[in-house]
Amino acid sequence: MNEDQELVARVLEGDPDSFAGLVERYQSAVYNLAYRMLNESRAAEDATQEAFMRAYQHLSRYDMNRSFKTWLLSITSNYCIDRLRKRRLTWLSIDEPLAPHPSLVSSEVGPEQAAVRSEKQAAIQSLLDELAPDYRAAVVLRYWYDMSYADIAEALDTTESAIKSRLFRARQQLAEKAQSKSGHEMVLAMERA
Amino acid sequence: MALNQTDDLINRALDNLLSDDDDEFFKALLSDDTKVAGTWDGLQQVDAMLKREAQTEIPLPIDFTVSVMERVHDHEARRRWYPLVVGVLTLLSVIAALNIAFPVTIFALDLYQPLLDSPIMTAIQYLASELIEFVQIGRFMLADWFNYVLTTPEALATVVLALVVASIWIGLLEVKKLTAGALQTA
Repeated sequence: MNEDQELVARVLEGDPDSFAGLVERYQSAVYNLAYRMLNESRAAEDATQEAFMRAYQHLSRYDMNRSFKTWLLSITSNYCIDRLRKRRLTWLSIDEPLAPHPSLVSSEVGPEQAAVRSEKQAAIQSLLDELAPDYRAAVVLRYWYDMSYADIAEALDTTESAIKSRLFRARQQLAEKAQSKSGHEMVLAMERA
Repeated sequence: MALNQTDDLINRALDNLLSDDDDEFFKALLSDDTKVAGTWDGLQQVDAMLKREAQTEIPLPIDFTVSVMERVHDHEARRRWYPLVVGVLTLLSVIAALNIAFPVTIFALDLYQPLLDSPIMTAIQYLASELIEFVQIGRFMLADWFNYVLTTPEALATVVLALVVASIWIGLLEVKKLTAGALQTA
């Protein structure tokens, strides 16, 4: 039994405070996934809290043979996909991408570099925003979490074949958008950075 | 929708999942087919861009764990109270339903006559009448005694004297207790 499973077992035995250990360990991963999916810090924070609460409420359903992280990221990505679908219905008329998150500007670099970097990150994030929620989740889980096709399929409750297809189409769409005028500028900005 | 062989090869090449044979086949395909080579270049650029971006980690809000754990504790508190509240409400509903249904059922089915004729009901009736009679006798005796005391001066004087003596005696006992306490403290 690994440390995650020990913490899960303790929570199930009636010690809710042990859940804090799991939150500490995975909050960054969950928050980053939510942020990449929703591109809004407040929404990402809400989604992260919600994902942890859902995990807590359904902890008895967690299969100890699976990775806790994969299970948690699965809850997060499915929640974010739902939110994005609802948001699409609500914001159907809004085409403008959201402003970049202030925390994207790293404090370790100079202001000019930070501005270029922030511009690049915002551009990549806006490209990701144009992908369908299912495609975006596959891309984020593959690149940010280095998950295998099988793990992504498990997390998104689909087949490996579907994940391969989503990844290919997502990459293709990103390449097409990046090759368009604004996308090209973005690539150039990236090269400068 | 499943990918065709070329798209699958490109995908696996980007994810470094090609076998040696597939790799050779893919290289040959890239040199033979300019369209595939073009697609490959575009996707490679995107792949590199995403890999670079994936290195960036967005910092978390401060005290995040605390806020999650606050919600967990709220949830636990609700979870503990929920069955109790549901239980009490169910019980009250059942009692209310029975309360209304019981007399209605008894009278609707003419059950009150056999109920009244049953031996246990006779015993209950007898005990209740005995109890009522006993209480009545006690009440009359008490009323007669008050009447006698209030209308006979000697009896009233005796009662008053008894009360005075009793209060003096109680007073003396209290003084004795206080004196004994003071001596012990000294």
